[in-house]
Amino acid sequence: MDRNREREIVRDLVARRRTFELPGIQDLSKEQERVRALPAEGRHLIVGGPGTGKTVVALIRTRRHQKRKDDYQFLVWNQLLHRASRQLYGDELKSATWHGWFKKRFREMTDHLAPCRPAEPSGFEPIDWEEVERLVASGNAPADDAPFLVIDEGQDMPPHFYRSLVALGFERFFVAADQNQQIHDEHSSRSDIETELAIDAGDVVELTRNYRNAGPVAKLARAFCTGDPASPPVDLPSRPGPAAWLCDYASERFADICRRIVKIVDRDPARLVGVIAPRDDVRKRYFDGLRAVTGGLDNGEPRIETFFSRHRPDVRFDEGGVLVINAQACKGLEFDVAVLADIDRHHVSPTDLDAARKRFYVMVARAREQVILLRRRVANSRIEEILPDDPDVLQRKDLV
Amino acid sequence: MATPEQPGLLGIVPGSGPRDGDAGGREIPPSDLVAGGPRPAAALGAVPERCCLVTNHLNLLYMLAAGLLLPRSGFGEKYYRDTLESCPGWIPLFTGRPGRAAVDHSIAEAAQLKPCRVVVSLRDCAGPVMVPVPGGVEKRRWPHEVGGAPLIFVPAPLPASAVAEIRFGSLDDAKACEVDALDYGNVPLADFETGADRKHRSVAAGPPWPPAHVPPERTAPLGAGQAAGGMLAMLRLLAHRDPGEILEGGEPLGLAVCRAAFDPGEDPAPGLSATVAAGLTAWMRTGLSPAPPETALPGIDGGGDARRLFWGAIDTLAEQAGAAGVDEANARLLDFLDRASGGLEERLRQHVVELRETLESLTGLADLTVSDLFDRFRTPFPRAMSLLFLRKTCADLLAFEHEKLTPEDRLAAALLFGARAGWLALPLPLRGGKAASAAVSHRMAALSHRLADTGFELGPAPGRPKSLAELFAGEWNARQRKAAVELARRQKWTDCLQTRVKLGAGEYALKVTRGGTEIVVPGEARAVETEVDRTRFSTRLAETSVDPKHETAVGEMLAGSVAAPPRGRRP
Repeated sequence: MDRNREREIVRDLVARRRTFELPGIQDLSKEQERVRALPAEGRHLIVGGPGTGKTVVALIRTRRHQKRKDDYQFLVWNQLLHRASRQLYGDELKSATWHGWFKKRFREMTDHLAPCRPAEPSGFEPIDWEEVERLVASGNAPADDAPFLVIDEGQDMPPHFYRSLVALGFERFFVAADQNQQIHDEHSSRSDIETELAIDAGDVVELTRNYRNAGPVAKLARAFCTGDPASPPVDLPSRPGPAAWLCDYASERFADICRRIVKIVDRDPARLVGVIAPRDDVRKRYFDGLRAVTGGLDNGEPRIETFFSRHRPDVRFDEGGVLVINAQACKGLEFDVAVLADIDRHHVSPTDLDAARKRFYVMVARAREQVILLRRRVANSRIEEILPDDPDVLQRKDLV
Repeated sequence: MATPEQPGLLGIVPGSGPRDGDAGGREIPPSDLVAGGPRPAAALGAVPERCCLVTNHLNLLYMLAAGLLLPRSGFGEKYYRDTLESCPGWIPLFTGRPGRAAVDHSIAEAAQLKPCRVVVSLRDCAGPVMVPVPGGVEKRRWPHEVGGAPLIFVPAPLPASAVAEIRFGSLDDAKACEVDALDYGNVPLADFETGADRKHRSVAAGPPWPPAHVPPERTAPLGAGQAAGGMLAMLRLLAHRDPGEILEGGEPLGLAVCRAAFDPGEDPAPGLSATVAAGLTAWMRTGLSPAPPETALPGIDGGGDARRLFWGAIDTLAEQAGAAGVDEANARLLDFLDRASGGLEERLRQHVVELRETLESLTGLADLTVSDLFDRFRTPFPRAMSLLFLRKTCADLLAFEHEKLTPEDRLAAALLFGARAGWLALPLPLRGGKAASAAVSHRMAALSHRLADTGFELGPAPGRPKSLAELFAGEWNARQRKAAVELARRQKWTDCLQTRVKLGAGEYALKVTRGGTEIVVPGEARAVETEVDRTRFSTRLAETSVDPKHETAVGEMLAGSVAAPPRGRRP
């Protein structure tokens, strides 16, 4: 290969790269330092809202286990998070999805297949926890070589999961959880985790400051927060940032919108933009629209990828680009800019506005720097009912 | 007042005192953290050249990251109570045994804190300090007027390069601190000698804490020093990676600017005054943007007003260098542009307003590419500002390439990025190893003292670390060739290496096996030499970030063997 071309490719890769980098000492707060200093042994529960640095401290802890050559396992909620963690941290991270890991580990420890309930329409086979507990109770003595477990987004795993692990002999837990970020039914409350892991409420470490989100992002997220008291209220970050935008657009401007989204990445190829769609047809429309943007860019066509149920391409989180996903898949992910596409298409139940607010809370909190809400100019949408009116929280913009 | 030839206070002869810490990493019997360290100066009637600060390991790590022994105010929100708390703006140094109370006070705030003693060498320092006297504190001159004082208060900051060693109360504490340091990307604990004292006495000894009298609170300006540290680091990297255009006189821009920044007392290279770096030496001397006459030329397109704006932006960043995040710093710059535009003539004011609006629009759905920006702005200041709003870190800037970016644009951006990050926010790979860190640390501290007009002299600054490009310039001698091989090996630049095997006359058998190929030679090979392909090596040097450990090792291999290139000659 031509040497200059080779150099260009290397530079391009460097420019797009996003990896987990060790924080500077000034970047960790005192409360995060308290978490960092927790002993390797024992059971620890860390509770905090989005952006409080739960994953950062979990990864620092994981890195310590790795350096000490401990037997450890980093557990995450879903494949997307598993993939993101591995790519950002490196392939050496012993990461797995909690569900797949549990089934494998259960079989290794008990010589039984993990009992499952009938498959759901998506093909997902939920674990039959009652049967699991019965088998564990009737089985051999718990193993004494259980690894250190570092669990991220621990509120998403059901209480049975923790109960079964303890019964199987797991002793060393580091669980990072946020009560306010549940977007499915089988989850654990803070007190569930405390109870199952026998952690005294006074020993739970609370992270109260938001370090991830720029102030305007956090302010908008708070406007959607339904306020579960189990997670401490997160202080609004003072970090300035661009205002949160709500842009109404006419259908003929759709291509223009897509071009502008692509230019965010073109200006800084290491940036990751998440386009979060309410439904699969919207996801597909944006994915196609973004892929259709060609020409007029400095860095050629950026990486534009999508991810949806039962379709798992090699989505990369360690490079900049645009990732188009459905709302259900965004949990735990982090983008520099989050674009909430066609918010008028979200289902808003008149009898349960909180459900929509919770969904928006999770989506908005994905953004580190800026969040942009896009809404088609249509007459019928209930979405306005949950949007904040305060222009200090959400600015209504016309694109120029 | 005592003179160097005369005994000082209490009849102590300066310079005759004991030295602590000669044991390196070994255990020192029979001392411990409380009772160890310098023996009481008063008892021996001498001024110790080494004193110690009592703190905790997290404050210590923060100070090492900052490259400075800081006053309380330098820690922002990340401060854990220690002996610095009692004397804002000063660094309390025990000349003899620190007391148990000082140690206990320094670890009281959080259970995870480990006590430590930072042994500081003040051998080359001179100037006013404060010492306790019956009923208060008094100003004295270090070293000749302070003999016998158990405690001195030195105006902050001190350079981290003054740290002679770090002593912990136990090996376990030392180990725990080493493990902690590895959790951060900017703590160079490995550059310092550490050790543990043998045992932890419970008997109280040394002066009580807090002291009955402390000096009046003073403000230690730290931002400019941090900004200078960040700029020096970026200029060193730039000289190393991107020499840039050749100035009038033949010196590359990058090297000329680096030299001017490290040694602002020397004459800058001819031709530098025509660049955005005009005013750099003045800034490095004073920590403030140069007065208008030094830069005043009309017009924004490369003229003096643009330069004044540029150094005004540097001043703005320096106010909070290292302490504010990127977004805060950028917000302050937007405010600065607002303020600055007010006093400008109309055409220039419009330019500044346009720049400000563009910078603000770069977030979100702006319909702009970098090429569009560079077409809109054709001079270094607005281009560098644009980059500052488009990239977060110094490493991002170093990786940035664009065909329209000129060496002067890059230089201006490097200064802005360095000033925004400060030394504190720089990850270790950008700091350039121990020698470079020591050189920068001394200059940061010295600048802070000049700004505050403390009169406290830190002694001669360590020489500017030569860039690898300088170390490998010109015709190579044997040591340079060897060092180049060593660097290529350490960096795994295998494409730069080749091995020459000299064989005597005869027939050889070539055996190809699964594991590779071997040549069977009757007798012995005459020589096996590993060589460096110089062209590839130079390319790698220019394009790759060199591990600071390797850079330090190579610098030590070549210490004194490479003459500085004559002024005005490209290395």
